[in-house]
Amino acid sequence: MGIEKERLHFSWISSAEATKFVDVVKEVTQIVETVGPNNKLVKKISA
Amino acid sequence: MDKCIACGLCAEKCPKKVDDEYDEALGKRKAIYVKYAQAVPLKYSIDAKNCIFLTMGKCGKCAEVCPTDAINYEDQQKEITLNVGSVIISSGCKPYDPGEHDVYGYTKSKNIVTSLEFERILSSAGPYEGHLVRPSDKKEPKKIAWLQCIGSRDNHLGSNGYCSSVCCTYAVKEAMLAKEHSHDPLDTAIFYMDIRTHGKDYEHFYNRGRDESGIRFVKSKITHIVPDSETGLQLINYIDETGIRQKEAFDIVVLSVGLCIGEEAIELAGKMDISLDHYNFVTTNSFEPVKTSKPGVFICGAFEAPKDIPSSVIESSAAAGMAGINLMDARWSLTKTKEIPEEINITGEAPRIGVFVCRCGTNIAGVVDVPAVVEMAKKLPYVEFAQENMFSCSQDTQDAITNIIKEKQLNRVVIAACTPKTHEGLFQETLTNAGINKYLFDMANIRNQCSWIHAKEPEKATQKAKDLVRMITAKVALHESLTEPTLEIDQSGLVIGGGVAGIVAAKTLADQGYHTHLIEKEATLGGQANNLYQTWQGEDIQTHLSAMIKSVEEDKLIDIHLNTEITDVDGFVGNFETHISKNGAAETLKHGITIISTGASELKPEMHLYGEDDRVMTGLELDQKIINNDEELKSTNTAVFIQCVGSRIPERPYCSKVCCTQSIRNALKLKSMNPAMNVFILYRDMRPFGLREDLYTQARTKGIQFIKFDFEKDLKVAVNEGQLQILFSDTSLRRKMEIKSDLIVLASSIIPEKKNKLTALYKIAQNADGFFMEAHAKLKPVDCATDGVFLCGLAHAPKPIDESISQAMAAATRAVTLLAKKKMNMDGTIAWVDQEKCSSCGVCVSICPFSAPSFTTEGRYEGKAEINPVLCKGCGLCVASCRSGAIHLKGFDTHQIFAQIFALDEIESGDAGQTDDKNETGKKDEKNAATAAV
Amino acid sequence: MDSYTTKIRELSANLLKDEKVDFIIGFKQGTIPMAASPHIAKTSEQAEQFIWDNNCRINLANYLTSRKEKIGIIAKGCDCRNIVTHIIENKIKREQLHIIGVPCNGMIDKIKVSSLFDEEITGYSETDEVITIKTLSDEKNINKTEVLKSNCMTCTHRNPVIYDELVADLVEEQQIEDQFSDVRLIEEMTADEKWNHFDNLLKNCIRCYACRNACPLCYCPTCFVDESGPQWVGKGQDPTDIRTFHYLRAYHCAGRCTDCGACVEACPMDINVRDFTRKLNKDSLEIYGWEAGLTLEQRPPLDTFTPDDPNDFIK
Repeated sequence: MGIEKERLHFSWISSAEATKFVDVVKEVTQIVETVGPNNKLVKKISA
Repeated sequence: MDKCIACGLCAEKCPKKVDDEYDEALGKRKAIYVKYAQAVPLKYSIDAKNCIFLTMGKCGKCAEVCPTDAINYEDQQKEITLNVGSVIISSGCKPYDPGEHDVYGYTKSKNIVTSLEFERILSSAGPYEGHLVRPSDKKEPKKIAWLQCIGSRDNHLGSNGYCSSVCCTYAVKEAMLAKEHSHDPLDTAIFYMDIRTHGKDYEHFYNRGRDESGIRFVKSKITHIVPDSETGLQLINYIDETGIRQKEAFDIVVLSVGLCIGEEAIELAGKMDISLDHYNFVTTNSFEPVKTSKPGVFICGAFEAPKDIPSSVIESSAAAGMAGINLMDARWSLTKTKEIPEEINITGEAPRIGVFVCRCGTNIAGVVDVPAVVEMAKKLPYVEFAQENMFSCSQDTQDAITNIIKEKQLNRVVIAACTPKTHEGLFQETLTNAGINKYLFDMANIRNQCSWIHAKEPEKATQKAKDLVRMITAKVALHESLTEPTLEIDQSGLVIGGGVAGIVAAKTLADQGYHTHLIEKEATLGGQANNLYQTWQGEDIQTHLSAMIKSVEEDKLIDIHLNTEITDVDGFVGNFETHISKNGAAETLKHGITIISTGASELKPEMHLYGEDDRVMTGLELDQKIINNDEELKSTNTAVFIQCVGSRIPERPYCSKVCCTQSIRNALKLKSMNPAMNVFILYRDMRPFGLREDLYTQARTKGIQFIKFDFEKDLKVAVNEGQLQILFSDTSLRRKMEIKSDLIVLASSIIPEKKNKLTALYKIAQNADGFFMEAHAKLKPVDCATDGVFLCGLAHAPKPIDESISQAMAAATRAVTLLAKKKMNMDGTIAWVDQEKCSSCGVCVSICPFSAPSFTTEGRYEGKAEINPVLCKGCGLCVASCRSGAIHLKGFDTHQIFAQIFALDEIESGDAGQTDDKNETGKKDEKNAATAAV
Repeated sequence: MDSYTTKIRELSANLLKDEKVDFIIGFKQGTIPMAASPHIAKTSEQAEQFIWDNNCRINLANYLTSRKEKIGIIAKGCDCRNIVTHIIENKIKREQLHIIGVPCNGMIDKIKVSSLFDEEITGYSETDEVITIKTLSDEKNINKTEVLKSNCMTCTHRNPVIYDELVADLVEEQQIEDQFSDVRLIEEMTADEKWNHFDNLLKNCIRCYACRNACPLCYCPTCFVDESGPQWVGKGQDPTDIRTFHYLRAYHCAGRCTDCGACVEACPMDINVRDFTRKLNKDSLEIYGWEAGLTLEQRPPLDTFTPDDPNDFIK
């Protein structure tokens, strides 16, 4: 629909996989940072 | 001890450091301490030998800092007399100490550690915080070796002749974990005699370790280890499978130490007057596996024999059940009922929220600015009261909160403290005590999510704590009183499958006073046991079996249904309705719980001339011949047993567990019938686990030949001029071999019924091998994931008769814990349907894993969905799938979650935003509604 | 098509005469050329007004939602697939229906036709392969295949999936080499190109909800766009809200859409609404091997869970 695919991630992480969780969060954050802020599908509201 | 709230201030301030025995002396602890973080009860205690106050008379730091005045230096050992009707011994075992007769240099090199020490090294709460390093110089290792059977399967001085049963699997686990922990590729090798991964799913685990993790398995005999103090390496000298001397150096050598019985346990057994075997394990018989020699005294766990966690947990339930039978008349007689104040109806009242922010000693307040969070909370909409607590969970604070709720007429409560996982129940009880519904409550976890994880950024941690409190306060304002559906439990049980496990389960239920239906599809009870000759301990199975059958037949509380199949199942935990066809006639049984003991059968192999030549038979068929006293057996000159027929192959990757022992036992029997007989057992790994090792040793002394064949190469059975012959490759001689034989016994695998229709009927799962799955492999080994359904016997996994029996006792006992309650309170946070909005599309009915939604059958909303509150687990699947927005989850409704999200959004306006008077919040919500829609 | 019309009238008249159904839903001649409008016949006289031609585009399954009567319905391939979906989703029972199946050769696209003329169209007639269009000053014969509706061009289920009677012999199904070439074009775009594509697509949307109302799948008592507690989507003309409506509606149709084209047919602003649903139809087919409305035995893939559901997208 025009949203960058880098913004969506799926991962199976069990409650016992703390290390994997941290790794995934870091990886996702890093990837999302490379595409920059999202301006699509954001509604501007005038105050 | 009642006063201690385990805040840890005392240990923080205690000046005395001593070796931490829990960390295997690899790390330090204080003189006031808890043994380990999960200790129950979680209370600090003083180690009198090391306490400065108790040894020197001065210090007293802990008493100074204790916020609840819990330190009592005068405490003395007290003698208490308890009058009890049954005793259960579960004193366990201790690890073998390789330092006592130090063959491997354990005391000489820091880098030679026991497997328990290695567990601590891997633990993130351990001495090295989970960094995998060598103890000598804290360098990351490149190579680690495990040596198996340390102190086990060894008749030398100080060692034990039995197999410790658990070490092979834990070594594979440790090697896999070590590889995961290591930053660089780590080489791991396990030096072993036989790999014994005989427990449920353990063989898969072994295969994964070898094939996926790349652990090396080296069949070998260790001669000695030479540590090199300069490099920190250990040079392992060993003799490989083919008899050649080899050497290899490793950074760390882990000794897989076995389990043994300590002096204290032996002393206890002496006091209790219960008999022990020659290894000091408690003697039991296979048909009463948790009963000691002394009436009323029961045993479970590794003091009975070396065993793993699932078996210990199973036995613990079994022992509790057996102890309970003796105490049946006294059930509920010592129970005290708690007085609960009547619930105040808050309908129509505006929210009056109380926010309690916990300092948790310094645990939260050391990082988060708790007063600032309280100040912010005071200004939030509908908040009537906010304060900080030193320890919200302490009994006096609980009482204080109860009083504040009453005094301020609060009707919603927020506790910002630790995790709801451990404390939600406690605080909900506080609400109940104050007379308001326990669902008018929520928690913000500002410990784990703020002070712990952002310990180095106090400002951000405080900001996040404020956000969390603001969010949860917005949500709690919208909470409603919820009722918990109550369910009457039908006071009878159904046991499916009339084998040994089923018989024992039914008998245990009846002995506990419950009416029980026992269903068997065949015309007789007994199942596979009808074909078995002897247990490994030499007990005659047929005599015991007929006694067992008689006991259930004569029991008035047991209805036996033979020639019976299950056609359909309605209902759920507490109220099952099972439709059966008995000799073709339909009948419906009502029951509160279900035990599945449908067993498994022996594979009829399609190989090795089985079915083509009468002289080739399966293990069970040989048992039958022995039971029948077959004369032909005596005249046999040569007999060959072939192990793992149909097991441990790609198509059936599990180990059938019983066949090694069964073959050894029958080999011994044949030998006793005709001492001149040549008896061979061709195996891949011999797995007479635990105390069964004795039988293996005996067989070897009796001249039974054990030959390890090469599984990778062909093993063929052929007939040459009327003579049976077996062609195979010997792994140690590395040669092709041939044995001419008169009799071939195939140790054929145990196979479950794949795609068993019970899976669909009772909503239980089968694993890839076709065995039913338990709710949790270690902690709930007899419960199914579906409430009220329990599991035992071969339907769960291959196992010998004594394990089937203890599992059957355990399943019945677990069932009794449910039946004895008579009523169940279900969770209040469940889904409900706004039928006005329901479009009847049926998605919820289709996707619910618990069959909670159904279509209303009559009235105004006929055809619309409704949810059975008793079946609903509150998972939210239906809520998410409902296109029409008709399904709501109580306690987590969309408007509650939105309120939470909108409250987060207020961060942009900064704290100033909170000074808004309450009238403005309405407007803000509107604005936020539009944003959130995005 | 005259033979179809005759047969429909004959079958319908008999059904009503024998009181096998309470009424029959079909088409009658519309008030302007190239428009067939839905028609309900309760008597055999009213059944005389039934027609069948290349303009019976509307999906009649939409009129079955939550009906309690015994109903006869004239249904082409796509209508039948929606009837199947309706039955699965408890909108009607199979026993309530007498389906007069119409093997279909595709409908014509009135936008494509009118774009060939500068003037208003005043007359329409058809033979099997050719349609004849009259305007005030002109008359032209056009090959039907040149002006087929785009969903009919890629249709592989022209024959009724379930029926009680047929008006004619079954037709040969089309063999389509690349059913989803249009979707692939969009898939190949960059994120920004896609964004612009949908921006352009929706720039004329007036949020009249005609697409939703024409769609047999949109039967919720309260549509999410009308919901106010919580308000999932803004009610105005904000482009974000317009997109949200179309995206979410498409997702609600995932695995259920039969690509009947009713949404496009209904749109007064000529928006190709199918651009949204087509992608989901493609995914349903490629991931689950599923096309909606072909069987009464199975629920759509997103309504069910099996352990072997594909989950490669999860790391």
